[in-house]
Amino acid sequence: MNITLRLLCDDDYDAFHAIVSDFDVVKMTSSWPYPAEEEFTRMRMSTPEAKTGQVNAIEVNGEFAGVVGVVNADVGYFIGKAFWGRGVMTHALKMKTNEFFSDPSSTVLTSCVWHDNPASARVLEKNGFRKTGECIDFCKARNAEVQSLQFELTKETWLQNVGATPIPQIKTSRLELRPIRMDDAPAITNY
Amino acid sequence: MQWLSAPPWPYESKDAEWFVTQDYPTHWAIEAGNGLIGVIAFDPTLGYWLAAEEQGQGYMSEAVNAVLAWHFDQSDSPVISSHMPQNSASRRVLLKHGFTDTKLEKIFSRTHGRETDIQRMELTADRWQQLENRGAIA
Repeated sequence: MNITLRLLCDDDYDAFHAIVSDFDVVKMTSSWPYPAEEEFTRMRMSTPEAKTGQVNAIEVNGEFAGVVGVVNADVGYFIGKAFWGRGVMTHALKMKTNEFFSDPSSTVLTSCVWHDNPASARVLEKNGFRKTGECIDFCKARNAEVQSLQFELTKETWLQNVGATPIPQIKTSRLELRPIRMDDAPAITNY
Repeated sequence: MQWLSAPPWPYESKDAEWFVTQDYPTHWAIEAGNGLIGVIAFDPTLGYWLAAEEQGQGYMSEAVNAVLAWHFDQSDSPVISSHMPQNSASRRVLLKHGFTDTKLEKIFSRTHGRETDIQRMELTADRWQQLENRGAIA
């Protein structure tokens, strides 16, 4: 099974809209309407976050499966029912968290799931997210307030997960490689 | 800068400050005796840049070799790296160290503010070992 993240494109519309027409999918999101609205789907496919790849399409063996996006250091996602229960979302979230933390300014990534969505909570936990609290939020598809579980993944945990080790100083015949320091900032800016 | 996709442009001192104040550094400063001339990162994809006036002397190849040797000394996991297809100097460095093409992708470049092609490459531990045994890598 080949799972990739890529930019959303117009050709995704039919598959995308079919997924958000499924109540079992959108009831687990906060902002998606039910029944699905074509205009809303098109709007969400063309936001600045989608254009710049903050929100990505998830593709499974060349087929559009869902979306994963990080906006304001908070990650959200959904995939179509046909792709549930096969580890697709866990792997797609892993790729997205790797991308997020490869930006040195990223320190913590948050996410929320509804209390009645244990499958999604497991996706977060398998990626190292830990529960930090609970709150009540509004779910548009259900037109109701729902209890929400808040999760976070710290950079420290992420680095442990990816097996990153602190980097050593390395000397070669002509070069010295040393961990970057605070006082390197001016030199880096000048380049 | 034209071959990078992650840094914002224009690049300001606050961006550099962000860059150096990580709790868990994954970036090395490259020095050749007279201060920082470039950066190489393993986070866990391999990325690097070298000051324009220092290019063409094999410095980056030497740095990449050192970082790969460090990695494969402690791990068998493959190393991923990417470059823009037109960046032939960067490509040569990767090819020399045994990287092979995996796929050509489009990404959004924060540096350019638009989509750009990116060639993904991979180096497996087996391939690294083969080249090292043959003495193909200095």
